[in-house]
Amino acid sequence: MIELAFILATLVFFMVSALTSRPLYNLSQKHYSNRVTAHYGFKVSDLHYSYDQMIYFISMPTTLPYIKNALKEDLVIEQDYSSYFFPVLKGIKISLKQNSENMYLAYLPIGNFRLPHLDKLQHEGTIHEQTYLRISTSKLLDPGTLQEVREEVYKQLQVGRY
Amino acid sequence: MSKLNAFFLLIIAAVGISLTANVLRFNVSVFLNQLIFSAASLILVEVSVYFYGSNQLSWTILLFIATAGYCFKLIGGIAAALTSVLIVYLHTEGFPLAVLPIYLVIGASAGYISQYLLNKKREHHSWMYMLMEQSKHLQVFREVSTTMQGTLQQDLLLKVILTSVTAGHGLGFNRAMIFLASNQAKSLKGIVGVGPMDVKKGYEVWEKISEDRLKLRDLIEHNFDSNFTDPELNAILRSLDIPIDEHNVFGLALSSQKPVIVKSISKEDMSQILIKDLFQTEEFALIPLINQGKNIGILLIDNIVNKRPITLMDTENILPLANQAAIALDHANLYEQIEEMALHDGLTGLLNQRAFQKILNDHFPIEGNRNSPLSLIIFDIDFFKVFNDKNGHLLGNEVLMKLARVIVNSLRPDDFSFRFGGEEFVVLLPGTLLDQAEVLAEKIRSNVEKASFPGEKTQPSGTLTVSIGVACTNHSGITTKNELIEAADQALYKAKNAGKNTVVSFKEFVTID
Repeated sequence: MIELAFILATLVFFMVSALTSRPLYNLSQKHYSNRVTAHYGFKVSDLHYSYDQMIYFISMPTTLPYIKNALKEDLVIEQDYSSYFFPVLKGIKISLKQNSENMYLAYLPIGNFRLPHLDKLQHEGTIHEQTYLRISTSKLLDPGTLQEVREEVYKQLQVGRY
Repeated sequence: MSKLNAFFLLIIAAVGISLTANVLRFNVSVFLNQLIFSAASLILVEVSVYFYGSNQLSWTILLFIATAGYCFKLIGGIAAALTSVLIVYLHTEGFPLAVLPIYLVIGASAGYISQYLLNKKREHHSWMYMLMEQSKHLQVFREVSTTMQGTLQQDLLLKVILTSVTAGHGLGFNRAMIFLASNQAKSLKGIVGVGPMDVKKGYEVWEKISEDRLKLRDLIEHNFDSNFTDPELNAILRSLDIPIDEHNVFGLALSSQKPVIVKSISKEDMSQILIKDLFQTEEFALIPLINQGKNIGILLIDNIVNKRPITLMDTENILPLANQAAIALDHANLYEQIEEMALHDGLTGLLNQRAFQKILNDHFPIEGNRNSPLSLIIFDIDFFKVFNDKNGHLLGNEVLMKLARVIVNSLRPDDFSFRFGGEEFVVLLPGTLLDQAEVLAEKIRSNVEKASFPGEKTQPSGTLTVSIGVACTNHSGITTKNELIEAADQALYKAKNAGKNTVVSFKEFVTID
């Protein structure tokens, strides 16, 4: 009995760890960012950001009809984490989902998601790179930011940058 | 406690332990995170001992050894194996020497596998990163090439190049400046730069771009000049004329036709000292812009704000863009030269008939607007047929060239001078009233009279002279371009009839035939 009980408990242990690690990681980044930004007198929501360094895997504006004709809602945003047990956000992937197939269009590595105010604080020596990373992670995970990224990618595909 | 209860309690404990560990471990450092996760697995083992006794501990503790090996690799696996022996010893009687080799093998294996997987993951990530970087550069290159192919305007090309080098989505350097080769490629002239003059300004611009969500096309089309090119930086840059010298780094980049990275300023190179003093930069790179072996210019890049070192990989990545830029700039330059030639007289260098029609159209006052008058001076050389008959056309050409210089030297910077045909010349004076035009006409006449021309002694009066007619749009009888030309022409006819070498203006006439 103990063999079965322990094996099941072990499985439950790993499953719960894996399933809850990402939401709890996201939550901890949010709490940490709110605490630190409050300490320095600003809010995460007030931070301006740039997703200019988004890496696109297709030409812009595209001439491919199935991408050109895609709806904004067809764009899927996925968070890219390093692992299940020790998740660290590496970036966000934007893909096009059509007829149950996924086509990757763009990727924004977290290191390229820059926030000018944090750049300034880091340059002044007020915050460390790790703090910068945690706050930018929290900002990038914000639903409002993700929605804006979706709109930006959609627009870039339609009209291009120049 | 029944076995069933113990079973459920163990499952509940597993859930509780993993949840508690997860709540804690993401708020601490990476090391503590892994330590908590390993400790959580040990707690689960201990809970099972609590419910079921220590009989099975010798194998249940493998969970802890494997988890620690996963978290801390080889060292973690071995340390957990040794710790496990101690734990088993504390729970049972007698030293479990027999299981130690097994624990060590399992701990080492878990650590080794974990390390192997981590290395694979890193390798994969490194490949991914390199491919993404290449994809990004290809994308920038593709976009910039398309834009460059769409224009021959040097100004726009420079903006596209600089913005692509400095924009976030582009190559991301903090600052970029373009120097173009001038004076038969003996020196480099600073043309335009993008980026801040200092770090503080850099952060201000960066914040502004992010705040306003400005796109590259906004920067290029609308705000490029006013808000995002530092006026101070550009004023200094435009005043620079760096000689292309074998002993300076600019000359080195052009002669070697390869990028040069200056990591620290050499006091023996005046050009490096100049760049450091003017732009407060300690490290920069020079990318030669070369097309078919011809030196077009230099692209200077630096990271004044974030101080990120410039690597060989950076310069390698910028080269395709620089080569493309060099071709585009060379073509734009050739186009400008051809356009220049198409509007100028080949002999005298003055503007020609085609240019005259265009400039006359551009400056002729629109109907009802008499506030911006346009004056026209027309003149020709007196007895020029006689001069050519006596001295030949070659000397006549020399006279025409010399006369053109006299005309240009007699005018104001915004006046236009044209060779109208043969020995006939025209001057257009935008924003000039008749009396001011008369003064200028007299100045031309007088300067021609005073100037020395080859063969002029053969002229009837012993010197080369011109007769001049002047007209202005502020006369009520002049409403069209043709009427302005005709009026000045009639005035010239009067000047010829009045004995030549004189100025006559149209005010003396009442109607145009």
